[in-house]
Amino acid sequence: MSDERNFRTYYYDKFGISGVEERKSLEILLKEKPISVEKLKQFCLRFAMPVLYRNYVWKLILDILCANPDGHKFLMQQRSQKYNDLHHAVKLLRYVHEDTPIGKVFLKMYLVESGQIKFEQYKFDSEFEDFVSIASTMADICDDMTDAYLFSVEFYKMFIKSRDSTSNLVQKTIHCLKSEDGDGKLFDHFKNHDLWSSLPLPLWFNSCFARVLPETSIERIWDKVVGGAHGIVVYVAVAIFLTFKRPLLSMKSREDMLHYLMELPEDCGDIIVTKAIDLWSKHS
Amino acid sequence: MAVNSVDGRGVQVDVRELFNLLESNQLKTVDEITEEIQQHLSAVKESWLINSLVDYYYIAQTERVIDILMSVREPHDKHLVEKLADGIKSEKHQLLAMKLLLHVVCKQPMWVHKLIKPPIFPALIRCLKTDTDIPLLMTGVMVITVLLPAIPSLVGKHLPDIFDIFGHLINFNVKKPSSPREGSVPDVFLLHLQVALYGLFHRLYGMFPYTFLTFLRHHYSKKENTAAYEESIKPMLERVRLHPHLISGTRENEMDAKRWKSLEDHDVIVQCAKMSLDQIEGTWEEISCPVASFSHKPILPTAGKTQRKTPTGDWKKLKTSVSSPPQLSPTVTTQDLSPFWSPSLSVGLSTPPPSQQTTPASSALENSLASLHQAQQGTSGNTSTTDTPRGTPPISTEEEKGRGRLKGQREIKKLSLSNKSLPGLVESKSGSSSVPPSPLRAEFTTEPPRGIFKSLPVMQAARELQFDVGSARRSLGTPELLAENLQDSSFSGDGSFRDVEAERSDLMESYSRDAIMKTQTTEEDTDDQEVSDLTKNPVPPMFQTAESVAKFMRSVNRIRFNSMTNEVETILAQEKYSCRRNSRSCPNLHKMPVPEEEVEDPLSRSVSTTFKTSSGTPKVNEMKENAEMMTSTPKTNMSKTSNVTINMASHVVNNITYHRMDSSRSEKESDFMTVLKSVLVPTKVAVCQRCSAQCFTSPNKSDQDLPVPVFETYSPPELLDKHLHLGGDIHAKQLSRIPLTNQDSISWTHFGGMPPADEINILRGQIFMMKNQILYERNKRELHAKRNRRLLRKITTANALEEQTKAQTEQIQILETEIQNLRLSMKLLQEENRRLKQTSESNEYETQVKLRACLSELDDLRSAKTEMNTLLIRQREDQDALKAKLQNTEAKLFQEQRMNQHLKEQVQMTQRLKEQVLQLHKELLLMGELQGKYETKLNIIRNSHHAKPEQDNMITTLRAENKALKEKMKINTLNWDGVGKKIQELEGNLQNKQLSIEELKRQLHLAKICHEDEIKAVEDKYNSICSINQRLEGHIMSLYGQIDQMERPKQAKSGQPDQMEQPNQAKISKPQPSPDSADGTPRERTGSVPTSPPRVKPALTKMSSVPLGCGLAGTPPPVARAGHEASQSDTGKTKSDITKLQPVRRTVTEGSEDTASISSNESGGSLIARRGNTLNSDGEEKSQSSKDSGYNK
Repeated sequence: MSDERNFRTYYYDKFGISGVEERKSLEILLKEKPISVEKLKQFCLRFAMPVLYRNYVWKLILDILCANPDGHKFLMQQRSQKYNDLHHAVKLLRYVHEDTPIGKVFLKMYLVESGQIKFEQYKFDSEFEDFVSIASTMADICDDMTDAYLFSVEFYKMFIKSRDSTSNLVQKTIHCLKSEDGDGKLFDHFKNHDLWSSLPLPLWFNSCFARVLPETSIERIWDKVVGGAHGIVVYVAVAIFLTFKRPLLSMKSREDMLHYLMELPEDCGDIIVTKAIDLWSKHS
Repeated sequence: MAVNSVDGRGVQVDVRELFNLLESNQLKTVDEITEEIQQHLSAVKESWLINSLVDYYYIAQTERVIDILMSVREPHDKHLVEKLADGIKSEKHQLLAMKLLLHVVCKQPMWVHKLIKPPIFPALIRCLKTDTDIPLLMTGVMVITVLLPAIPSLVGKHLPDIFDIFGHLINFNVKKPSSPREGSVPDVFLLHLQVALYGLFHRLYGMFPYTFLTFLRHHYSKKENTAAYEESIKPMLERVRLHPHLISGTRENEMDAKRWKSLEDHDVIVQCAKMSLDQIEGTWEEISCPVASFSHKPILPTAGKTQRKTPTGDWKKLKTSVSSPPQLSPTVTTQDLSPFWSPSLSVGLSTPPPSQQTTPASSALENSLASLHQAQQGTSGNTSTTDTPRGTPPISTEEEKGRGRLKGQREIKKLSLSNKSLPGLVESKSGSSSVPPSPLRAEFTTEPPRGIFKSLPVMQAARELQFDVGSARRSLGTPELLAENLQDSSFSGDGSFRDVEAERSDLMESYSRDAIMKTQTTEEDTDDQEVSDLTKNPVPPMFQTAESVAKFMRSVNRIRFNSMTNEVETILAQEKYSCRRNSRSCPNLHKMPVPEEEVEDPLSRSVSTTFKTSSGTPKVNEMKENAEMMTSTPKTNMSKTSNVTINMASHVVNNITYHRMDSSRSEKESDFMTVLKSVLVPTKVAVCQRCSAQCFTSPNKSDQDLPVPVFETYSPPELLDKHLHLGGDIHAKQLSRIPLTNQDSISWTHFGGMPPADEINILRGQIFMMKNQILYERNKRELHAKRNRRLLRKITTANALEEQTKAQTEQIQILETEIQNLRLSMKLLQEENRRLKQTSESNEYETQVKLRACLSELDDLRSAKTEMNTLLIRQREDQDALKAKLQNTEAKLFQEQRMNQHLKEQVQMTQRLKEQVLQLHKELLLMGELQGKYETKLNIIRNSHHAKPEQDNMITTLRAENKALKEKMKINTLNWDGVGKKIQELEGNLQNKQLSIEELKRQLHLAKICHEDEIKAVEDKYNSICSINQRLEGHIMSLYGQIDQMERPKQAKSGQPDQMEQPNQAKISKPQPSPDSADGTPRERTGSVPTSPPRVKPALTKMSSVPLGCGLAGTPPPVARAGHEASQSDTGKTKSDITKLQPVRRTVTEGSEDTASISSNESGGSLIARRGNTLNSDGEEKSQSSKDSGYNK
């Protein structure tokens, strides 16, 4: 399909008018019957996802909707029913109340749905911190709570299934930073302050940067993750380091740096994400 | 003043003040004023300043003004020249103007050439031609004499005038001119004039010999001039040698400006001097006449006297050094020369050495004293060989004494040479007798101090002097004396202390003076006593007139007193002249100053005093006293010197033989004079002899043994010198006898009268002219000095060249030896070559002989060869012929053989052919027989041939049959086509159908997938609902548990919990047929909280779906109702959920229609009963069953 694309795409890319061709190609993709989920995944990895179709595509990829568009309506009906049931159940069971954060609600719902909830219902909540953060981010991303819940659950499942061990990812991050950091100053700086051991990398990787990066920018990362490129998290971490290289280098103590990294400025999200995607595309 | 009227106004005062200041006593102010005037001159371009200066000079006659005017530069020269021309023309300032002109000319400024142009030169010429004032004339002649070499090229056209002047003035000698102003001219003046003319003569002869001689020839061929010729010209001509130019040059040539282009003024002078044979005027090489210069110097107080003295001394030394060589062995000369040369070298012909800052008076005194000793020495030098200082220094060892003696003799000659001027001195009063020995003294007085600087050397020197005198007395130098001399000389370094010496000499001399004085006074030596007595004689009158008459009385202490008076003089002299002392004197000044200063200082002083008196300064009274003193001092000096000369004379009595000749010339004769002359003549003769030895120009010169005067007459300068000397002698000797009135030295004012005007005027004129002479000599000397410097440079270069030539000669020698070697080797090689040639020749001859023999042999062999060759050819030809024949025969033979063979073969063939022909004949016969037979047979067959009809019928039938078959086949093919088409259609239909079937299948598949998805979703939902239910049930259970726990304490009995459960179970398990099984389960439940086991167990039993299917098939509502009721009974909220569930269940059942039957078959009613038992695990089972059904599918 990509080979038949308009020759102008290159110029679009060149002039920064991205999304024109992608959108068309995506529309073509979506018109197929049945829809090829694999191609959609490829699309996710290769191009920026138009916002209009993100929801739909995610649903398709995350198997919330089936490949055949005829059954979508029914499927969504079922899903929403399920969501309502679950929601009702958790409410009924008083797992949640009115002001419980939506992430928690989704967690409870997920736990109920997966039957993992026990009598000691609050016992395992800490294990699902990642889910909570993902879910809350999803809730922010999506307008519809049903979608949000479904996305969170499916995304979480897929993420759990596909990810490497955290230590492996950390190693990759170190390696990547070493190769990407031009003058090696930052790397040395990290090394000097023994930062690797105390960086919040596992947290970042497990939650896939939910709540770390702003929602608007994290969508693009998640596009890639949804597309199957879980490894992008490594590059996101490196991109964060490189973006904040200067302030980090100026800081002397490890605590300062950690503190700084824990509270990344909001407006840097896009820069980080763009850089991360560049890095990722460069390395993949 | 008339001067100041030139410019008037403010300047007037200024100028007057300036001029007054110029005469101030303060050296500093004078310098400043001079400076200021110089600046003015450089600033002002107009003539007034120069004019006023000249006017002032006319009035004041100050030397300072002369100084200033002499150094006038370019823009003012014109004014000065004009002013001078005016002055010469005017009656009033003629003399002064002329004097100034002489000064200017002597100075030789850049613009000297302007002096030859009008207006000044014609004025000068006219003045000289017309005037009769001797001083003026003399000055004019001097001017021309000095001017001649300075501008030789320009002077040509004025030569006739100059000649005229010359002739005119020469005539004065014969016929005294009488000027209207002064009456008859004194003879002395004429002498001076003669001297000047003599100089002019030499210049003219030297520079323009041809023209000059032409003039002389022309002029003196006249009768009236013969007397003058005899008197004046002839002696002059005697003293010149033949000018080479007379032979080589022409008149035009002489006037040519080119001739002078390459020559400088001093070159010209030396050229002129070379022509002269005169000791005074002329020179051998660079020597100039010393006497004239000495005699003239006293007249020059202004210019540095010291400056001038040294060169003359040098010249003298040069002269001696030059003259000495021919008489001595080279070794001796070199030895001898060294001390001689050293001073002159140190004089620095090139550069003037540091100045001697002596006060004039002191030096004068010293010199006077020293000169005394010198004089003694000089005279003693004549007799004894040992005491000459020059001889001693070079001799460093005792062994050289003999040589030294030899030298001594030579030195005597030298001395005499240097003393040659003595004759000239006879007549002069200026004490020039001290002049000649000056070189001696130079070495004598200076050398001791060189080595030793304390009083000891001085004493030694004094003693030495005395010894010398003593030795002179004894007429032979004793060895002891010689030794002493040697000692003294050994003290002195050979020339290494020149520079030091220059500074110290004055000190030394002042020391030595006193010391000598003392020694002299204390000495008991009679000789010394005599000398002192002699010297003492003239003193008294002087002192009478001067200050201390009382001191005069004490004749014993006279010398001390003398020294005192001298000191007084020094003070005065310092006041007067220190400002004029020129600082650029030469180092060996101390050698020379004696004579000049001795004479100079007093004279100059007297002159200055006269000047002062005339200028009318307020110090007149003082000056008078000074004048007295001064006039007296020279006399003492003179008297001293004269005494010395007398001494000398007395010692050299044996030489008096010739005094008669001289005495005949002298007019004012005395006993002394004769003696003096006798002393002087030999020296002069000696000089002449030397000169003859050197120059070869005077062939008639006699030897020393036979001294004959060279010239019958004296040259004018000699005459003048003599005159002066004699005059001085007379003054010294007979002053006491001369009436006071005749003594010009007497202060007439003291007696209240005036001295005779004539005498004073004469003396004044004389002084004036002397000054002029000195100026002239100074000019000459300067030029000579210049030349000396140049010559010295040439000498150095010549030395260098000599060195070079020496080196080159050495090189040449080396090369020559080399050449000789090479020649030798060449000779050897030639020898060898010749030998080789001979051998080669013999060899060659032998080989030639051999060669000849070989050649003859070769000829023989060659002829033999040719014979053999011809033989060979002939034989070969024969052989060829034979061979050809042989071949022919062979060929024939072969041909025959071949023919023979061929014929044989043919014979065989013919035989075979014959046999064949026979056989064929037979066969032919047989075939003919067979043909006949077959012909017959054929004939028989032709007759028996026939055709049948049935065969035709059969063919037609067969044809018809064939037609019918074809028809049939056509129909069949048509049918076949139709059928084929039908089949095609059917196949197309079939394909379509298959396609549609496929499409349907695909759609079905899609639908299936879709439905599967849907089912999945539903299942998902269902699963979630199940899990919700499970959760809910779990919740309910826990709530029950709580309720139970709450109720248990109330109903203590065991039946209670069962009862409580019973209704509940009844409600739920209405359709359950067996309550037994239900009894079991609640017990379990109550016993323990239901966990995973109940879930796992049902998973193992797949039949759980059966009741569901049963429910669907049979009674679904009750279940729903039961659930409904249960839920209603429990919570009203679940109502809606259940209503939702119902349709879902329906769909599920629909989806699993086909499986229902199977499951129903499998599961019996027993399972339904179980279902009722396990209400708790209902959901699980359901899901399981649904899953199972999915799998089954």
